[in-house]
Amino acid sequence: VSPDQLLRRIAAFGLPELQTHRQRPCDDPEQPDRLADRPLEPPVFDPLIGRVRSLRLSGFLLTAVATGALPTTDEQRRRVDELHTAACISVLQLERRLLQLIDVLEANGIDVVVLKGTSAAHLLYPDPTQRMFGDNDLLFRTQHFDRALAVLAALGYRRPMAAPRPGFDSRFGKGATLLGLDGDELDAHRTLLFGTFGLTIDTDELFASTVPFHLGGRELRALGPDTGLLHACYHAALGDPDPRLGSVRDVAQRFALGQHDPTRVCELMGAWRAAPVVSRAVELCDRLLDVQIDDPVATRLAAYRPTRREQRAIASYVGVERSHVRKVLASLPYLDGVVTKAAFLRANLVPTATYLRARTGRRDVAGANRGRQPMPARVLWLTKGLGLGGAERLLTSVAAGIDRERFEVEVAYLLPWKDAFVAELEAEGVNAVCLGARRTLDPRWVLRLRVLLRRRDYALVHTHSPVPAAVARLLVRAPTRLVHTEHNVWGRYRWPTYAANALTYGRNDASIAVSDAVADSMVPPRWAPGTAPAVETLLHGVNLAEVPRGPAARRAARAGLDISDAIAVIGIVANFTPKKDHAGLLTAFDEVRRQIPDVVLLLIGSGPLEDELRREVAARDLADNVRFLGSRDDVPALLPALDVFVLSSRFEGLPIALLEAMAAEVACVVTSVGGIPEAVTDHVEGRLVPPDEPDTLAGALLDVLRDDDARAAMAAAGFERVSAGFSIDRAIARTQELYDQLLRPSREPR
Amino acid sequence: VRTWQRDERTLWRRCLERIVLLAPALDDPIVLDGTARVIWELVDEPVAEQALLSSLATAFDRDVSHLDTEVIDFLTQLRAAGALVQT
Repeated sequence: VSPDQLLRRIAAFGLPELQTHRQRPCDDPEQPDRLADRPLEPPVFDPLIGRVRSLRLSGFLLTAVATGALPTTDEQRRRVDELHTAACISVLQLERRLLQLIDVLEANGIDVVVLKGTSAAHLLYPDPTQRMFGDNDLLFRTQHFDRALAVLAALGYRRPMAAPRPGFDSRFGKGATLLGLDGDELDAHRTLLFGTFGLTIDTDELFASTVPFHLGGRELRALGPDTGLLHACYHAALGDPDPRLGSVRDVAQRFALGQHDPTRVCELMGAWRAAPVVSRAVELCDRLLDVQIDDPVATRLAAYRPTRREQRAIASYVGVERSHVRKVLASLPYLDGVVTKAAFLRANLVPTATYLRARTGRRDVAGANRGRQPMPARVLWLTKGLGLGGAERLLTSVAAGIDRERFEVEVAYLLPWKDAFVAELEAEGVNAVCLGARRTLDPRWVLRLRVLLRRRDYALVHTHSPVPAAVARLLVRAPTRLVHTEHNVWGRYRWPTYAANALTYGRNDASIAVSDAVADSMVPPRWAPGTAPAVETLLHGVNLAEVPRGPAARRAARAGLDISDAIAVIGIVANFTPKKDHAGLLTAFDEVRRQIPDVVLLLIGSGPLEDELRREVAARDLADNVRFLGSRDDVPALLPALDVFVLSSRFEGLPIALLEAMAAEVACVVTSVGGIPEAVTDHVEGRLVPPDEPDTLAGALLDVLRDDDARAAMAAAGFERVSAGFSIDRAIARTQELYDQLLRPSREPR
Repeated sequence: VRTWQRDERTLWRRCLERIVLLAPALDDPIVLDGTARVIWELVDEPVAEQALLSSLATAFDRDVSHLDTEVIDFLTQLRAAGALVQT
């Protein structure tokens, strides 16, 4: 079973009266729900955990483990429990916030229906713990919508994107996404989606058939079984270009529960012109979850074929060329009357400047046509992967701060399985393109990159990994400019990588190093052609607001990890590769454990040496003290649990995890390699030790763990150092300044 | 006879070995495991204190007299947090 298949089977796990129609390799007639015969190997389990977390499927995974359908090792079971505990903490906080909001809204005479998340968890699933969610969704009556937004604004909820034009919300809009003071997201709905299919929904009907559910001693309202089923179909079929497994599961769950009235659903489907939507949702259940819907609604749709107009409407949401404009144009036939069509077109094609800035990050097109503002320059960032790593995290942070009125950034990456940050980048409005290399040496990505460069006509290509950089330097032609950021010291590259990088390096227009140590290492050999640009050191940083710190963050992180306050916790964030020297760290930790028995070492990361390290942990009898947490996309939330952050690396550029640990006010014990001494001064922000000296590392760890006052002082100094010297905003500003310099029209041709 | 029962205002979720709950008087969720988790499962319906202690003693193969102080302290803490109701 492939990892994708396994993920899909987890998403379908526990469906009532599961209807499957394909024979699977590990199907056991006695246990048709069984997912595996034995615990998964770490190379399968670790990425699975990461994807389960990002898709919020931990409840289904937990159920599969609890029932024995997915056998696990003790360590894997503990990781599943930790993963789900963290998800539950977040969900409970959202539910408390939901209750608070509904109290205030109802006190203001505003009717509220709870959509998706909480209501699905409590109404559709035998145990609400199965259905995790990441935000709250509320539906308001059209006539209450503006008042509801005003009440929510008074509660501190801000609306990042204004309505296209005044009055649009209550006439055509789906609703608004709001952000609370705690960073919680609230989707305020007037109808169920934007565009063609949202316009045909009878919003009064949504309120006419609600059902109660109970939460925290309160009775709340949710959509009834018929409208609820249709909403689940809308969300699964059109909510995301790549359908979310959890949303498709909701559709399958509703069909399997059979609480709906098929006749009524078909009536509504006809009235709302939703047949293509429901048809797609049913097809997704089959294709993604391997679940055949056995229901009169599906039977009626079996012979259904969408018209061309319907196909265009569906494609405007989920087709490869989907766009807001296509959605607008596809909506026109569904609006009655020329005046209504004109108002809808005007609002979408000539919106207010405030809306435009928020929506696209680009300038007002009409204004630019009058010469007020230049077009944003199209920039490509090119990297090997977008998996969980420091350089990748850095790209995501920079993407969030790029001025989109000046630069339209896209990211291309080679390795499809390294995609952990894709969703985050896309959420920032950055298009991520996978060049689809099946392995590092798969040459087809070069052709795809060539096509991409020709089609998109980039003004500037900014490379972040040596091999893709070498290829891009050969493919990019003037006037496109080339910038390279070096994240590692050159000395650690293998010879072919070093040679490819060095041979093409002179074609760069600008070169950035993430630390002075990296800059010092960037010396092309004499035989390398071209004139290498001067290297500029640009210290990056972290967004302090995104790294929790303080006692509450520590309590939450330790609760999620099930570690009491009395335990000393050391943690490392590094993939299991030789350059990180986890073996040396284990030697040092063994000595620490001998002297301080109540100590835990958290290993956050994954990699080729994992099996070897697990054997080493077992051989040293450290299994009770060392925990493998796998690759995590919530590292900033875990860091406050630590007393000491440790790195035992032999090579480094400037590790982002170290800066994050300092931002989390955690004392550091790190090796004095690469750019690390530029961030940590020995005995000030932490301790510096030479690499490959486990005894010295153990001594430093013991010193810091035993001296509470010194540790607190180091933690505070670390925070100050990062605040003062490692600003992500400054790095973003300098990067943009560099782009501006390179893209000035008066530049000499290369 | 003192009985204990969950306060319906408490938000909670079940994990593999733990219960995560957010009680009305708490700012942050708390995590229950081991005996605490079992207690939470037992107070699903109103349960007499003595019956609760007996169930725990059976489940953990301990004498009731060894459990009562700790368990009642714990129940009292949960009540103070608003997670339990005592009648």
